[in-house]
Amino acid sequence: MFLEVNNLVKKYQTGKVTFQALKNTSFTMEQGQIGVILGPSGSGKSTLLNIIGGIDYADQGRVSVGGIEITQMSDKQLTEYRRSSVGFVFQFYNLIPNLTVYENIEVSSNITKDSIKIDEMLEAVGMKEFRDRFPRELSGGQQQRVSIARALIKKPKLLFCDEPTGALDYNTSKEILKLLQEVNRKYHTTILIITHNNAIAGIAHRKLRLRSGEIVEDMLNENVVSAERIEW
Amino acid sequence: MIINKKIIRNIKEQKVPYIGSIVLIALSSMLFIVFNIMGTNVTKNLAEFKEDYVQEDASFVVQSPLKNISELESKYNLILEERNSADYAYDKKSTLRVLSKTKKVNQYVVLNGEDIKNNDEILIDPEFAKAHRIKLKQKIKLFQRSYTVIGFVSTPDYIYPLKTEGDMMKNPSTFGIAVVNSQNFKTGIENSTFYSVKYKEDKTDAFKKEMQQNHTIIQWTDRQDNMRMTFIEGDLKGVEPMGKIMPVTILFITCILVSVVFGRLLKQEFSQLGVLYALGYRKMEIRMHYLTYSIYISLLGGLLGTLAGCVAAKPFITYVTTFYSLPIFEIQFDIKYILIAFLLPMAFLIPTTMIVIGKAMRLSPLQLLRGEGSKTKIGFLEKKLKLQRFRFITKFQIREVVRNTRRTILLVIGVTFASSLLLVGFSTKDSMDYLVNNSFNDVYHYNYQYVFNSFQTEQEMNGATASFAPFTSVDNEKSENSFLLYGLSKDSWFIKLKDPLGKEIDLNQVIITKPLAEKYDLQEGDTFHIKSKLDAKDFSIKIDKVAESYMGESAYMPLEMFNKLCGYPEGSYLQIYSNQKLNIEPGKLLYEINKEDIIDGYQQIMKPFQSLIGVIGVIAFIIGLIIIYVVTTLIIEENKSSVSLLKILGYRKKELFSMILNANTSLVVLGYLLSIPLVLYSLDIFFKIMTEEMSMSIPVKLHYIYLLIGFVFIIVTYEMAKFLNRKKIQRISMADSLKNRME
Repeated sequence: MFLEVNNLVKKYQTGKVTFQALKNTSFTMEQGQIGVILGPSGSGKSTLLNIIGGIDYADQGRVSVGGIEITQMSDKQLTEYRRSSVGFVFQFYNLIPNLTVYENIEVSSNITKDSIKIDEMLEAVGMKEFRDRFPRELSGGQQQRVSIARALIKKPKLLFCDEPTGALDYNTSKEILKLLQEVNRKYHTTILIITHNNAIAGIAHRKLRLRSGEIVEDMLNENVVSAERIEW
Repeated sequence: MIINKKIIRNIKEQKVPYIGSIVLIALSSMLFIVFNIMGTNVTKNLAEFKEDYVQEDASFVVQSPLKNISELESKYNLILEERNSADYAYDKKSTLRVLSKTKKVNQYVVLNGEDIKNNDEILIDPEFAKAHRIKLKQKIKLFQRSYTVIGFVSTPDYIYPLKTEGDMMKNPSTFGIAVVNSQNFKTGIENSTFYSVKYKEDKTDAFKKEMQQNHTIIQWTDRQDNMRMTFIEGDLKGVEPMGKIMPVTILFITCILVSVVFGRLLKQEFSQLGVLYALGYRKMEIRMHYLTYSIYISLLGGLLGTLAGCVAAKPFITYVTTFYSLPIFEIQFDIKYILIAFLLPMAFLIPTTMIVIGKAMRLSPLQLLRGEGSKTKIGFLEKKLKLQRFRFITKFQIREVVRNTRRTILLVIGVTFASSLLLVGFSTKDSMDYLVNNSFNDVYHYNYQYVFNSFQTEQEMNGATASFAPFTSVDNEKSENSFLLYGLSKDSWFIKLKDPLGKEIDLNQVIITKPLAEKYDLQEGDTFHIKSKLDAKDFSIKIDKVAESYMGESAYMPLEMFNKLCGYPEGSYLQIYSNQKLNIEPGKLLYEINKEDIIDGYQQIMKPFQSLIGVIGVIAFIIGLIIIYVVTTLIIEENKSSVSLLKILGYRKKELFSMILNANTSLVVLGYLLSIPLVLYSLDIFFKIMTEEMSMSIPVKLHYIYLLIGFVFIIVTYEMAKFLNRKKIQRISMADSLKNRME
């Protein structure tokens, strides 16, 4: 298995109250799959993504990516893991406002040894003509395309998308999902999407549902459809 | 207003820029009080001392003594006093000049102790006493007589106790003055007689003419040519701009700092502002809320600075008045300066804040609620930048610098100011070093100089002979000031004058020094119309060469030519320069100078100056550190989300430090480089103001070693500010980026 998550436990302490975000969460994913994690707010989706993405530590359990266990890694090792193995796409794009489109992608290619050429990536996400624009001069969909390009430029083994369409309108959301599907096909990138939107599960090979820190549904999708065909 | 409760909370959350602003304001108020209260008190006490204790207008030495003083006083409507002076070799290296008690002109003040009543009592210069560990009631032996030190003294003609009127450096270790009863000079002390005059009416020329005709003037020194009295005035002239420029510049920097800080605060609070509008708050109420921040800061900074200034002013005045032998009759804390020091920060900060708030007030409540104003605007310059050829980190840093122009200006001005402070200290020291080395070591090659109190003709003396007399320019409006014209004998090996190219000038011609050439705008080949200050005769001399010597406004010509021009006896002279100590009767001498004493004096005077450079260095360090630290903190705060994102993307600590903290390196270097011409230019003006009334000019010098030290100092300050901020970058959590909405 490319991604293995075993009995993951994560607790947060707020004053005297302890909140358990993940309760023995386990699942697996094959390389090149698109996985969708569904669940309401506070179900532990983001906590799960943060731990697999090397941003946060688990209290118990283990996560291995491509056969390498990341839960025992030090801060320094996690930095190297994020640097070389994973890409992130955020709900609000998180582009650096005073850098141009080209430079925002360069933020990522700058620390990668064998990156895709920026112009090629811009072409792939349909943003070539906007390369010298600043984020403020782009629509939400265009910004998310740049964000995807920034994540993919370093050829990550695993791409994490945290509500990638959460801030976008219907049509733009579909375009972004289509782009993610194309990326998955073209670069064979494993993608894990977190969303509230049940309909997005249609484009995924694997559908997981989280509720109060527990996986309540884990199923393979035999009928993956193209992003254009999903409706909500 | 209830919303004002958050002011203190906000300040506590963002301590660094607010504390930085308060420290800068306090520093500014403190410097304002210290310089202005010191300046006014010293000026006031000096004026009182000059007026009430009848400071002379001139002093002179004549060949034959005056017998008709009262007659001359009524004839020319002046006050005239005969005085005696004798130089006593107190020890191997020091001379104590014993002066006769005065009654009419240059009345002395007993600083500590009692006035002299008996012939075996003496009053002594306190600095000389301190340097030689002489205490009150102690007995000292002078001219084979025992005297009891009954008090310490200050006299209006020796406020800056120099051995000769043309000297520059006082040295209490080697020279001081004392006052004894006039009776003592009648028996047993070989002494010189000189006269001090105070005019009530301007009949100077007529009086001088009579002196020259009937008594032959040997030496005449007007008050304005006497450094013992004018040095302090030059210094006070320098204090005046210092007391205004320094505090105002610091306040100006604080204003930029506050505008940057408030600009950021308002940006963060735009949506809150929108909510307040929606709740029905009036513009004036919101404006007052934000103004309260700057009122708090300026009041606190102003109060701390005013208190510190009031505490520091008295010791500072004492230091200055002790440096000069100036009695302090009264120290007044002018309420005007205290009020200005306290309120000036508000006068600067409130309009600045009003401008910043005004910009936010122009947005509609809806725009504010939507957070429109807080979105990053891309400036014209940012859009126009073509950075393709740079590596990514450089691009990032350039964009960071261009993004916030106010912040960039603040950093450059702050660093320039801190560097300037530091370089002013270095350059002043270097300029003084150059002046002394250039004049004494390169120009003068004698060890002893003897000045006679009458014309000498004996040719057997073991040294080179010379003469001198004071002259003024006839045509120039600056003719009030005099310069010395020297006649040099053929074998004048003791003086070596050089042209601007460093080539030695032949002394058998008419030469003037650079300060004199600059003062009267003279060049080689010009004819200089001059008038003797002794007998008002005027002549024209053709200038053959201008010498690159900064010490003194002087002119030189062959001795024969000089004697002929002045009508002095052929072959006569007034000075002897020698490498060995000569055995000359003290009664024949006006004074003698040992070159070593002058060098010693310089080193002595430089000691406190070095401590002053240290103090300036500390102030420069504080200002530099505050500005760099605050600006770096602001950059980190503004880039919090970006840093968080970069961490998620896998940027290593070192890479983050380099991108964020090194963004300002070029600005710090630029700020430092800008300070160099600024310091050279301002010091040139400052020295000109200071030496306006002195017969010298100070060349502005700044050796590359000092430039290097200054640069290292600023870079160390910068590195320290960066080091202090590293933790801030480390503390930024990756979760910030996940939570924040960046665009």
